[in-house]
Formats: sequence, structure tokens, C-alpha cells
Amino acid sequence: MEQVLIKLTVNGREEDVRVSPHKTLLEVLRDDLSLTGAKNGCEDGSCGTCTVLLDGAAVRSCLLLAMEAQGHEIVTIEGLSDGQNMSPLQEIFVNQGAVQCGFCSPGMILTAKALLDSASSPTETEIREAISGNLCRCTGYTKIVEAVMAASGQPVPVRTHPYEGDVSERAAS
Amino acid sequence: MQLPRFDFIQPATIDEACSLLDERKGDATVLAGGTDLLIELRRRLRKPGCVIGLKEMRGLDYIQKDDGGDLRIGALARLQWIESSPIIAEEYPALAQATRLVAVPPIRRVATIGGNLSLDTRCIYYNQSEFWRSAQADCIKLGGDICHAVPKGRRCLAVCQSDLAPVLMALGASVKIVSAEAERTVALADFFTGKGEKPNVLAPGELLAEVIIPSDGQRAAVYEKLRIREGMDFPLAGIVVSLGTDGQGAAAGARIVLSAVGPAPTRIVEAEGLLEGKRIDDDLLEQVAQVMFERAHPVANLAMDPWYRRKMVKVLTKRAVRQALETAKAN
Amino acid sequence: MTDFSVVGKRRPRLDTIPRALGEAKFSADLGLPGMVYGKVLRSPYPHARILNIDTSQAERLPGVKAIITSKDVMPYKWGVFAYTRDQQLLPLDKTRYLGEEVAAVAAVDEDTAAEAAALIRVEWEPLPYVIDPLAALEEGAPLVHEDKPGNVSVRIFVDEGDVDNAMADAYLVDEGEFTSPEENYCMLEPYAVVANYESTGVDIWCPNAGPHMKARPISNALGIPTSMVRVRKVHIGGHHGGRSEVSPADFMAALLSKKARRPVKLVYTREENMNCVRQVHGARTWVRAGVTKEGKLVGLDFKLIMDGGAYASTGPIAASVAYQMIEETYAMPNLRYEAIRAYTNKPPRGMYPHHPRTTYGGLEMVLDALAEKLGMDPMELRLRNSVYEGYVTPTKTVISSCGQIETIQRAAEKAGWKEKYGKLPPGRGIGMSSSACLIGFPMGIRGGSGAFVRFNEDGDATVISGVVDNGQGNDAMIAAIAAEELGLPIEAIKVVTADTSMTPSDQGAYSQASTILSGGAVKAAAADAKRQLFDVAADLLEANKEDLVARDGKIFIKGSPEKSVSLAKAARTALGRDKAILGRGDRWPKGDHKREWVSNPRGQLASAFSYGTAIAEVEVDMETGRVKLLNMTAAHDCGYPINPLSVEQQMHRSALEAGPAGVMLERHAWTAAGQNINANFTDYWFPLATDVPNIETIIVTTNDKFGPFGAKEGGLSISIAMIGAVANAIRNAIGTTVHDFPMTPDVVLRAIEARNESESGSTTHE
Repeated sequence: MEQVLIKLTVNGREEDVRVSPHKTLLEVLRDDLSLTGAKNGCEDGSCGTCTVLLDGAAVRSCLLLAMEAQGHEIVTIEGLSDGQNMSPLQEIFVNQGAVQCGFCSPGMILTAKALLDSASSPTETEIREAISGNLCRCTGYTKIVEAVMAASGQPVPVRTHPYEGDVSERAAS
Repeated sequence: MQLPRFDFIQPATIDEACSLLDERKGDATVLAGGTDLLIELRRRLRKPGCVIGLKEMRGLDYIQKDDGGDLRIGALARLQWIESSPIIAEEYPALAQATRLVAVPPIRRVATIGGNLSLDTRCIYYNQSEFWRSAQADCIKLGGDICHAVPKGRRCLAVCQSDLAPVLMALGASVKIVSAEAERTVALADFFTGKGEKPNVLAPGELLAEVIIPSDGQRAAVYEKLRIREGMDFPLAGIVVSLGTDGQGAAAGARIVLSAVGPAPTRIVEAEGLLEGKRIDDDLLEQVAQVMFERAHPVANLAMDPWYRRKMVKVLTKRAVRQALETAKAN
Repeated sequence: MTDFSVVGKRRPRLDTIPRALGEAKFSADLGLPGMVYGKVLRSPYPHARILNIDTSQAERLPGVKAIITSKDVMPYKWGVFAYTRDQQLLPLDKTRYLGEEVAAVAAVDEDTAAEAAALIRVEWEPLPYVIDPLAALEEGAPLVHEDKPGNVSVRIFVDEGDVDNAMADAYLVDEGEFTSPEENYCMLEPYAVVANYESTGVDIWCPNAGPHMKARPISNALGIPTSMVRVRKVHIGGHHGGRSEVSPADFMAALLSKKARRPVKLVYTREENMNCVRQVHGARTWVRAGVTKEGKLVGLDFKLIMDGGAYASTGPIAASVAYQMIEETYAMPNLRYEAIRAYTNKPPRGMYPHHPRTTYGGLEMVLDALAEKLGMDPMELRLRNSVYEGYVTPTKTVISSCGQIETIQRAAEKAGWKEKYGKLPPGRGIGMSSSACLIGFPMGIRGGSGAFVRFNEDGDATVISGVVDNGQGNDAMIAAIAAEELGLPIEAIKVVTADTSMTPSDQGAYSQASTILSGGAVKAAAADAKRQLFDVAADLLEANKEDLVARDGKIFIKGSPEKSVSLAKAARTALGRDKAILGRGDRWPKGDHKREWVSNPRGQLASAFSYGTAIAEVEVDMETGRVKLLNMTAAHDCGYPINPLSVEQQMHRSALEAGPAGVMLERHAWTAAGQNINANFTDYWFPLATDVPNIETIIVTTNDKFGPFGAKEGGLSISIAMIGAVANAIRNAIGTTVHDFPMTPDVVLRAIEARNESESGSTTHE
């Protein structure tokens, strides 16, 4: 049960890490690589807050040993942006109001990214199915679904209220 | 909650995996998708000294037809491949349908067919954290001699909650099991022991390698799954009906499997017999459903009233028979 | 009133950018040099005396830095009120629920801490326990607290008017009894604390709904002045009512750090978060309502038993709010309400937006039953009984701004109520409910909020407020209020919030008071700072300061924006004249200070009330009892929206937590031995994206006089209203009332079968 030296490709960079075999990818990302965007929310694979992209697919990093992730391209939420400017998808999540407490957001955004990379204009049903493994307590999922629709260039309901004035000045996507 | 410490080895070939399993017989467990195993490890339901990782192993990751027309699915085929496989969509749509009802998409992306079939039986008194279990005496499944779900129960009735098992059973599937010494093929019906504490026949050192599904002809199969949410949940009861028609609209060769109400999915031959050669009307449906109801004996070991689970066996049976018949006629 | 440049405008929440980037640090993401990791040893018995704790073996384990047990603790008991002090943050004598804290370890890593915790030997004397609240109230039941006879934690009794007479005279009376097990808050972020104890004081970072409310009990438990306890929030992954008060985790982490002389991080597992932070009260409500022939309510009568778990927590408030919300919703002269909160050997319970669902949902279903018997549209019944501005409730609270009727009308219009009610095919149903939500109640010397506004030399402003943002957008809310008041773009506002060493006291992010009190205080502080700037600007512009306005970063004479001076220049000029621009303000609830939850439930309760109406449509599978929620519509009178986007977000949150979660899915279940069987997200039925339909929102404005820029609160009335809406939709679909929450398929099917049996007169059972 010695520690072993492994190579992980995370956000396009090769990282050498010394790990115990029982460490999950999530633990290594958070504890060894200081990538705390992936969260630990449930310990049993039911919440989706630990989601990362593994070769482009959204997977749970709490259900993957770090050693199993060798040889694969890992992208975490930190890898979607340069740290200063949000990626277009992140910006749409913010603008549409799809982020509230933000604990689900990294997993939710990465899941949405994987979906959008494989389907150019997913239907509402497809979006809900794709994010059904990511729990959110704040949004009722409505604005998340709308953000993914907007990100794929599909129309989303325009909500205005009488006092809101000119619709065009709204910060939509 | 951390995982326990273990040795981790990733064999490159099946032979290597088998010899490792043989070397560390009783102390090793295989890790395929990991979506169930890692949770069991976190909960200390298993304490293997050695975990054999199969994700990178080649040789069991296929879905293909053999020369005899049977479909062979390597145990490491991911559920996502199964739900999106053209051959399966074409010839075994019920398998694809059932697969889409497993957990949620990110789980299906890594979970494997072998893992789903060898899913350990589950019980609300068993699938809990180590702390939770420390507050009660060990049950039969944990090596003790009591059952918390059934007072004075002498048998473990933990539930097989695999979604794929009943469908594959109705499709007449068998599995190939390999070990360092030998290889055997077992009909799925014989793969399951019916014992909650030891749900399948896999012996230490053995590896589930392949699922073999015979050609289904013009038959139609339907899986009805009882669950509470539109996703994530394990089945609380399941019914699979597979049948053909004789050309005049009567049922032929029906197979009906009852699952998720006991330790193993079970073919209910008596119910199948009722359908044979018959045109199906409401009376017959009621009779078949009643047989299924009588054969279902869920106990209070899942997070849903057994009264309801049993009742739903009846409703789901009718729905599955009706739909299977319609589909078969359309075929 | 609508000529605002920031307030009322839909805009992205700037506070959510770090969260979308993944750079936002939550408590579990923090690290400090030399930090060690905590693990808690918990009681495996629902009720047991601690005879001895032997830590010697654990102490010898390499890597262990500190172990704390009751031996390290002073005999201090915490409680929200003087009369509810019943919880030792690490119990001395006995544990009262399965999972209660017994000891804690700090070690070099989590593996070692867990290993050490397992090496602590506790000698127990298991005691008889009680987990059912009705059994707990019976004579001879085991006592959870020896000094609380009958296991009565709290009894609330309100009897205004003459309910018995009113019911006797009523044209129609209907009643029902409703039950509910516990729900869980399900904050996505498991509880986590980082504590660093030094000789000068202790720093604590943790999720919370009010750092000031935590600092005091932590200091008391540690025996140090409150000024030595610095509680801060970082990003918080939800609160939902369950993080209002001090957690034993805060105290344990602090004490471990003191003993280990290192920073300590303690992160709860999901199971710990579900059992050992807070749960939502289980409850049983009996409700009776009487109406006149015209459908006017003449009286309401409630009897309620709440499962309070092991400690009093916020018991008096929790046992009261339902009748208060109801008397602020429906006008009726006679009200009787008795709530008994029982102690049981279960985890402690706290506040939750829609609890008890049995009271809110039960009443709404009884009202629909009455409407049916009267041959009246349930919407009409609600319109006829709505409170209004100036109405005085039975317990003597005056209603201020009230948009309830408009919420009913607009929700009905949006949802197509008139076209659907009574006209849907079999198995389909539509339901409606309205609710008030009280905002900011008297909490004595901790009931108000204070704020500072500081101008920086570049003309940007820093707002310093005790308000806490749990994810709902309070930081963005106060930034918008300050920007509007100061005439600055929102990007020029920096907020410093929720830090007990830095920020003035604040009532906390519960009682829905953040906008009205914390926001009100910020507005006052900004106005104060602006006055100071106007002193300078009046000179520069050669104008009277009374004539000045500030907007878009400039100060000018009202009506003449062409001649202006920038706020930045005014601020710099002030500094050049040896004057720092420092604004201060505070805001207090407008309640009657003599009103008390238990001893004097009469007088003005709150500063304002929000109103909401929810409509839901369902389809029920009559053979399986499975309910499909087709849509939810919510109209909410928020006073005036500081940011419409945020108000919608909160309405969405409320709709999810009440409808799919509260009515249809969520519950804890217990073994006879007092074990919670589903303290995890696999078995606890948290609604998935596939279980939740689209949620339509309508914002109604009433421009409350007390609220900043007319604002009241964002969305909580919908939490309550959606319970009744979905419950009534199910009732409408199946033609009978369901009495048990949550209305899972088994429960709905039983109701359908009972209806079928009573219709056919048959009594056979399968």
C-alpha cells in the first residue's frame, strides 16, 4: 500500500502526483492539486458536485480512483476559463441566473458542457435527462435548463416585468 | 468518508486478471465501473486487501454478434454503449430500454453490464455507513444471525436491484465465467442463488467475463420498473415480459420475470403458462397478474412499503403484458 | 418610484461569477499552514448515559494531535432563548439521539482522525428511548431531559375571539388530520468548519445564516469574551433554515484547535449533515375551519404536535410561525391554535420555509373541501378571505402593504385557472394556494442590522454589513441598494459581509429580514455617506446640498445633469479637506417588543409581509398513485424587486422545495431502534431535474413603505403557497384529500382506494 507516483493530465497540464492507491481522483484534485472547484457533496455518487470531464465525458470523480485516471484527459471547472474571463458557457450560466449558492455549479456546468459538445441543440427533455445526476437545491433547475438552451443558441423565455423598462438593456446571453 | 487502504493493480489482460484473482483468492475484488463497489468500500461493507482495476483491461469491452447469431457482450461493456448500440436497439430494444432506466447518465457512462449483473443485493439495514451499522447487531448478510427487516427471519432477503438482470433473464441470456483454471457458461437463471447474503455463484477467483444473448426472433420484451423518481433510483419492483405471437394474436413462448422483490430475479413459469396460446383479455390479464402478486413477497427492507411494492407487481405485470403483446403484434 | 438606475433592473449577480469559475472557496476548500483534520465520535444509541470515555489508546496513535471529550467542556447549555437552554455542545452526561457528538479527534489527516476516533472506548448505559412524538407525550415515557416533564419542549397556545361559538354558528365546518415525517434541508454543501485558535482569539469559518448569532454561544461555551470569537463566512452552499444557529461542529473545531494548537478543519459527511446539523420537524396537525354561506371564514382551529427531536433549538418560533403566516393570509375573527413540540430521541430540528407542511397543506385542503361543498371556485374563496392593507389579525398585528389579491389574479390568469379548474379530464388536477410571509420579527437586542459605507479614494465604495449570503444573493442585494442610493454603478461597490470582528451585528439571514433590515441599514448608511459627499459637492457646484442628486457616478443639481461633479472627485476633495466619508446606518424591525412567542403572543409581529399565490397542475396515474407534476406557477408580492432575476431565482427555489420535494417526495424514515434509514442522497428522494417541471414566475409589486426602495422579501411566500397548491392539485385529480405527507405513490394510492371503497360502500381489504 505504498504511495505511487502517477501522471495525470489535468486541464491540459501534466501533473506528477504521489498518491496512495485508495485515493479518489476527487481527493487528489482537491488535496494534491488544489483544484477545489470539484466538490465533495455526498460520498455515494448521488449528487454530481464532483463532476469532471474525462476524455470529454462528464463523470463523477468520487467514483474513480486517481490511478484509474492516468492516461486520460481530465478537465475540471478551473480548466474552462483562464481564471479571469469566464468561458461563454459560464457567462451564460451567470447571466441567466443559473448559479445561486454555486455548490452544484462546477458539476452542473461541466455536465452541460459535455452535453453541448455532443449535441448541438438539445431539447428540454434531453437537457433535464443529462443533468438528472446533478442535484441542485436553489434553482428548481428552471434557469439551468434555460442556460443550456441559451448556450446552444435556442430561444429561452424572455421574462420582463412592467417596471423593468426597456427589454433590450437586459443582460441576456 | 475515505476509502479503506488497499493494493491496487490494473492487469492488462484477462489472463493476468485471472491469475491475480487466483493469487489473492478471497482477498481480492475486481473494480469495473466502480459505481457500486467504491460506495460499498467507503461504507466498509467489503474490506479487500487488493482491488483489481479492470477499466484499462482490453478484451472484455465488446458488443458483437457471433457466428451463430447470438449477441455477445463483454462484461466491461459500459451501460452507455448498450443503450446506444445499434444492434441492441434493433434486436433487443428492451435491453436498451432497461439500461436507460439505470441510475443517471454519468453513472451509466462508467458502469458496466458485468457490474450491473453482479450487483450485490441491497437492504436498508445493510447499505449504510459503518457508523450506522455499528448501532445494531450484525445481520445475516454481515455474518451475524439475525435479520432486522424480518423479525425472527432466518434467511437474508436482501434484494437484487439490478435492472438488467431480469431483462437478460427474460431474453434467455447466459454468462461466461472464467478463472485461472477454467471457464464455464451458466444460464442467468442459475447465476443467481436466491440467497440474499451470497446472491450469485461467482466463486473466489472467478471473473464474470461475458453475457451471451440468443437471438430473440420476432419476440417483444418490455421492462416495467417501479421507482419513485424519474432517475437515480434502484427498482423497488420490476417486471419483464417477453413473448411472441402465433400469428393470430395469441401469445407464444412467454417469459415473465419478477424482480427487485427478493434476492434474485425469478421466472414465474406458472404465469407464463397461463398466457401460452391464449388471446389476451382482461380476465386473463387479471389471472396472470394475480399469480405474479402471489409469488411476490417483498419485505420491509427497502425504503418503500412492501404492501405497495407487491401491489404494483400486479399493475406492472398487466402493463408489461399488454405492451409486449402490442409490440409483438407490430413485429 | 420606478426611476431607478440599478434597483429593479434585471442583471446578473456578480457574486455568482467566482462560483461559476469554480474559484469560490467554500469552508471545506480552505487550508491553513499546519492544519489538522477533525473527526467526531458519535453516539450509537438513541439515548444513553456516558459512564466513561477512555481515549488512551487513541491518544497513542501516531499523528493524533488532540482529543476532546466532555472532560474538556464547561457545563454551559445553549439555547436560542433563556428558557430554552438545553443543549450542551458536547454532552456531559448522556446522549439524546443516535449520532450525537461524544468526542472529537484532530489528527494529521482524515484517515488517521477516523482511525483514532474508532479507538476511543466509551462505556455506555443504554437508556429507554422514545422516537414517536405521541408516545413521548404519554405518561411514563422516557424523559429526554429530566427537567422537562412530559417531554414538552414548547407549548404555544393562542385563543382569540370565540372559536367554539363561531364554529357552532358557521354555515359549514370541515376538518382534517394530517401527518408528516421529517424532511431534510439538503444543503448541497455538507457542513464544514475551519477553526484557528490563538492566544488573541479564535477564527472560525463555517456555513452560517448569521455569524453574530454563532459568535455569542461559541464564546460562552469556550469561556472567552465574544470579541475574541471571529466567525466568518466564505461561500456558503445553502442554508434553507437549517444553519441558523450554532452547531456543535463550530464549538468542537474551535476547542480542538485550542488543544492541538493548530488550525483544524472538520468536514461533515453527508450522513452527518443530514442527521447532526438540523432536520425539519415532523408533525401532526388537526385543523378545523368554518365558513359562512358566502364563503367567509369565521374561524380556524388547530391542534398540532411537532416532533422536536432532542433539543429545543428554535422551538418556540418553529411552533408558532404557521398560525402567524395563516392569520396574515386569511381574514377571520376567531383563531385557536395549540402546538405542542415534543422532545424525542431524534436529531435536533430547526426552521424550514414551509414547515409544518401538515398545517399549511392541511388547511389549504380543508379550504378546498369547503369551497367544493359551497359550490364555490376555490379561487373565489381565497379572494373573499384575503387580508388587506390595514387589516388587524386576531393576535393584533397590522398588515402593511398587501398584494395578495393581485397575486391570486395574476397567477390564475397565467396558469389558465378559469379554463382548467373543474374542466380537466379524469386523473388531472389543478390546485391553488396563497400565503403571507412575515418579514423581520422582534429578536430583542439582536433583532436589527447595522451597516457602514466607506468611500475609497478612487470613488468606489465599500459596504460593510453583517448580512450573510448563503447563496440567495444577499451580497448582490446590498450592493444594488448601496449603488442606487449612492448613485454609483454596481461594479463600483465592494461588499464586506458576515464577519463578527468587522461587521456590525445583523439579525441573520432568516425571518426573511435580510432585504428589509440589512438592506435597509445599508440604504441608511449609504444615505449618510451621500450626505457627507453632498456637503463637499455643494461647495464644488456652488449649490444647495438639498438640491443635489447622485446618479451614474455623478452629483448634480436635480434636473441639471449637464453640470456635475463625480462622486470620485467629491470623495477625493473630502480627503483633501481632512474628512473621510464614512456613512453609518441601522434598521430595526417594527415589531412590538413586548410580543413573546410563548408568554405573550399578541402585538405587532413583523415589519412587513410578503404575499404569494401558487398554482400547480398534476396528472395522477390512478393505478399506481404516481403523481406527475405538469407545471407550477407562482406569483409573488415582493414589494419591489431589487433585482427581478434574484426574485425569480428565489421563487424557483421555493417552488422546488415545496412542490416536488415537500409535497411529493421528501421524508426521513426511521427504524424502531431510532435509526434514520435514509440519511444519504441515494435513498432520500431529493427531486431531480427530471422530476421538476418548468416553473413560471410573476412578480407583483406593492412598494412597501418600510422596505428599502419598496422591497420586502424575495420568494418565501411561495414556499408556503406551493405546498397547498400541489396538495390541492392532487386532491383535485383524485377526488379525495390525501392526509399524509409526502404524497408518495403508495400514500396517494391508499387515498384513492379509500375513496373507491367509501364510494362503493365496500370494506374489503386485499
